[in-house]
Amino acid sequence: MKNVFIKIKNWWANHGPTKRRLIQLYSALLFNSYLKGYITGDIFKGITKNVCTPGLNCYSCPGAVTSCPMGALQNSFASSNKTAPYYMIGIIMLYGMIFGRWICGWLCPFGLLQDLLHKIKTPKLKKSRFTRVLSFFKYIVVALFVVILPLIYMMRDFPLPAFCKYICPAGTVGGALGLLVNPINEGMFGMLGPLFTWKFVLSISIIVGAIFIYRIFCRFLCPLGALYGLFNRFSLFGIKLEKDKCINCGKCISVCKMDIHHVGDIECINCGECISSCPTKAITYKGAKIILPDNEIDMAETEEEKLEIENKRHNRVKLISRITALVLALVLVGSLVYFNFIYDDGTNIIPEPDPGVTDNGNEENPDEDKITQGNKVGQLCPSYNLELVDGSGTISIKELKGKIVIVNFWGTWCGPCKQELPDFNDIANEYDGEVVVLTVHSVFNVQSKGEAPDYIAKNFADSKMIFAYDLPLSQASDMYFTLLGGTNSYPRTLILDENGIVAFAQDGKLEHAKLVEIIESIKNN
Amino acid sequence: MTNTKHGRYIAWATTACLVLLGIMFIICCAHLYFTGGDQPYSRERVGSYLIILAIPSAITVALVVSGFIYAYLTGAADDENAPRTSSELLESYRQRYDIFTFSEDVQKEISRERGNRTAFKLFSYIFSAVVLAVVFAYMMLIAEFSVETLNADVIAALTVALPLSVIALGIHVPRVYIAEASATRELEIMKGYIRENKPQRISRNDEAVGHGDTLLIAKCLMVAVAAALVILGIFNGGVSDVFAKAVKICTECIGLG
Repeated sequence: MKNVFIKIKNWWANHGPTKRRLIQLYSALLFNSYLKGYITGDIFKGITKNVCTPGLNCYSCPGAVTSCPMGALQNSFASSNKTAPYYMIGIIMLYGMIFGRWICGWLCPFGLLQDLLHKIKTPKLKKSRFTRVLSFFKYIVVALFVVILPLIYMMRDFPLPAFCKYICPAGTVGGALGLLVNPINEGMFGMLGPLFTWKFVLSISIIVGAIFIYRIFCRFLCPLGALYGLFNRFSLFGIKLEKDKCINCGKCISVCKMDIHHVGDIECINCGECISSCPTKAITYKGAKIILPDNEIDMAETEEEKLEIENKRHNRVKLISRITALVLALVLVGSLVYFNFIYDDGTNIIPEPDPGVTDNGNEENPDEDKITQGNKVGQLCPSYNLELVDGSGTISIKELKGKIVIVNFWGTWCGPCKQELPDFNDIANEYDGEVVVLTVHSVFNVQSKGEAPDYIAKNFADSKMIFAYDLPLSQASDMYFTLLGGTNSYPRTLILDENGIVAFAQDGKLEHAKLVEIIESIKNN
Repeated sequence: MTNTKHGRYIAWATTACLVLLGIMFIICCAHLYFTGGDQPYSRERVGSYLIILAIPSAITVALVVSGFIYAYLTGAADDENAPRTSSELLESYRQRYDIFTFSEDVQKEISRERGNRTAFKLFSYIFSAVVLAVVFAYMMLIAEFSVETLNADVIAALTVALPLSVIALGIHVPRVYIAEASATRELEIMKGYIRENKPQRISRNDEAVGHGDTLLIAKCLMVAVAAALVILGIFNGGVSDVFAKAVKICTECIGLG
């Protein structure tokens, strides 16, 4: 038995994951601990989403419990005409100054995916002078997609997270595919179109490319790595080269798979793979004396002193490692338990709708089979009193019976919502008297509620559409939207027939031609 | 693993399968989109394509696993590292030898090589800067962007901006190759002189002392500035903006449209 145990221990020492791999796996699981999201088909809406994860981790991924810094940065630029983007600039600076690209090498979930893919046994494309030049392309991605395009559209009062929309593979792989595999989100298939086709093709190319080219996304495309790289030299943690010990043999550069010119430059992801290759042990981690003294060389006077100090350091490192591992394990277990079993987003408590609307409108025979209320096609749409945006009172669906009603859920912070509103406005004008368009603006964010009157006054001053606010349910949810949702994405549109029965429901943007087709179909039935 | 015959076969077979599988996924996706009409993607249609892809995927996975097993059983090593370039070797020689102790003729030759490299480097950087400035000016001043035709406008703008940006980067490709050739020549000159004359190496004690404390203070100041920006952002509503976006599925961001 003891021999078996020793064999297993030796096998683990030779083939088990390294410390770095364990930390990567740990951080990937910690940042995506809302495992319940994969079952419910929804995303986490708790308070930890105020915090940005250091690496690339899409906040529309079902498991994500924090925000993505890239998405949040673009949205900050997109709304910088209303709120100066101090928070996100500060976050990027803070992470960069403390960790630099150590985040890329140790904490980023998408970096972990690429590392694992690169382990597949195939011939590899090595770095070259050409790849060094290509590594500057990610700065062009930062300039065009993260800064210029969001700012240009900010000036047009339209939020456009261009990098997330046109490039980011983490969103497609983690977010889109993570949501689409769940049967609950079947309605999302209707939204897939040319954008999804482009992003899927790009994501597949990057994933296959990562097998042959080390960290293809990190080296050539990742804007987050580009920004952190600028701080690499100045960061408090990471790799450093002790110049007095360096003999310029260049082994560190040969061993490194990134396009570095020297250890610790803007391309270095501080993975530490070069440390063991250095013949003079000139490469260490910054802060190594406290945390990971792999290569400490002591300047003790006698051999006994040196041995004693080294033993003391070794014991101290062991103690710190064990305490740290215990604390981190407790944090992970605590996160998994809290996010999956304890956290309640408040959406399971839905108050009853207005009384007297559960019937099917048949006043002669009120006891006939009642139609069930709900958000599915064929169900009776529940009715609530909604506050009108112009402050003139309230409105509810039951008042609009007798006409076809289009209920559109939108927000001023939502680009596709703003894009489709003119089409709804045209429908309201063309079918005046037959069709009522009721737009319901999200209220969960107090600021966006305040923006709605100005936006409507500027763009739809004489519109025939009715503008109302949703009802607040919890910190992160709108009640009516949640009740009539099923998924948690804006825009959402319901079309009700003259009896208030749901005839059509869809997430995502709707165009004029499609709306006309549905309305004519309802009229003919 | 490619240093053994069977390892090579498995590696190349895996490569072929992975590339083909990737191409098949792309073709299926494109086929779904172009033949699907108004709603190209539905659970049923996607499911039927996935069934078609199941067998090639299984074969690929089997090959990948067999590659791992082979590498484990034979102890096959990973491929060799990239060789050092002349520029890197030259850098290490420069750290070890002071060229001002070399003969005048050798110094002239070395200076000429360095001068050529510097001139082309300067030209490349100026060229890149000018082209990138043109890109920036085009995006901000000339390109038309509207909300109604957003995707078309962005694609049209990027059709101009991206190739120009690639050109701005591309000028550095011949530069690095020319610089490498020049570095090789300079290295040969230095090696030849060192072989014949055996000049003295630079002593490590001659190197300048670093300003460690000043740098640490500057780093801590920058961390403090960053923290101050974060706190300012919390009070000016920046955090609630982040939260507002993060708790809703951004269908645009994940490619759902």
